[in-house]
Amino acid sequence: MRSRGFVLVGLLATILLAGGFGYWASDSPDGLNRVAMDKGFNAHERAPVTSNSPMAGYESTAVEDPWLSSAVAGVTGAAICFAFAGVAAFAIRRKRGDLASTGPPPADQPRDLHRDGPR
Amino acid sequence: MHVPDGFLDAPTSMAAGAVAIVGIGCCLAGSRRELTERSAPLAGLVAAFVFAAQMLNFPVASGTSGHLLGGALAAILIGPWTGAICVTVVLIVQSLLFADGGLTALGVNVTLMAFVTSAVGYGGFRLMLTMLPRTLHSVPIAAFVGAFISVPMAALGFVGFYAVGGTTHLPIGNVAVAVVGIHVLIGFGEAVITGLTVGSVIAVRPDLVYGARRLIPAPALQVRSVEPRSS
Repeated sequence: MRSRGFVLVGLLATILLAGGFGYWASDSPDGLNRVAMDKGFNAHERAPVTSNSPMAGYESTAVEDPWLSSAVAGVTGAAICFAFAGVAAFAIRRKRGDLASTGPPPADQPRDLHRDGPR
Repeated sequence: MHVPDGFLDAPTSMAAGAVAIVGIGCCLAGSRRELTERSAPLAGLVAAFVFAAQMLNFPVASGTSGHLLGGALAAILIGPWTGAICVTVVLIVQSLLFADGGLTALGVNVTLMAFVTSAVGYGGFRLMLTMLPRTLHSVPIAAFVGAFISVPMAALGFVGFYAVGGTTHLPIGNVAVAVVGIHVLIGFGEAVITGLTVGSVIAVRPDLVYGARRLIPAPALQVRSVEPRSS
């Protein structure tokens, strides 16, 4: 499988997970929240300041249908994460590339044929 | 295990925020050595996949659920420094857009779910690889073990933060047993998902798994002779 094909298949699987199955995820409280409730260390818990954001709680306010609402929020979130992390990695990588290719190699070092190619 | 606002006091949350900022700086520096030309889209894919998998809460005990944290998975797939960055991206997006995990607790969540899970998960993975046969079949098994220990260790990290700056004052031993105990169960789910995912990638493109790069046999040197042209 080629690299581009691999990324496409991976993204398809991601969309399927976030869009297709998110709605059927367990609604029970997460382990930490459950223990906090049982033991009582959630006494001073505050509602998140972002709780009225359009996709709070992985449900899009733009869509009525509960399954579609979860799917829209999930796919949107996954797309944002893909773009955010991809751009960050590209920027980090490019910075290194720039450093590596400033000017010709010093004369006393053998030329890297793999990078420079035959003259 | 997203920590909401109000579990920990302000000084502790701010200290964790400082740890997260310094840690992200270290990760950015470290990830330069891990990233190659083709890994920028892979980093995006890892972040998107971890986000999607984190949505899928699985039941662990009566009335309790857990979900993948993904630090171990990301670290094994793309390298520990870059993996921690990917999970940090997920946590920031979740906190800002999905109201999952408190804004003031973002530093705590990044420290526990990005740094601790990536470091412990990858460390455990590498340790297991040294004990297993040097074949690609060992990689998903080592990933299973690394992922499994990463979750209770992150939970132990939360107990540490709680001991320093919890907003309630409960006996720390009770909190530790309860929090770590439930996360041993969640760790089992983490291990299954991580092992299956790493195994799937190993099956199609083992060269794309950062943690397996030393196990891929170099192609044998071939000696080819050219028949002299008969004219």
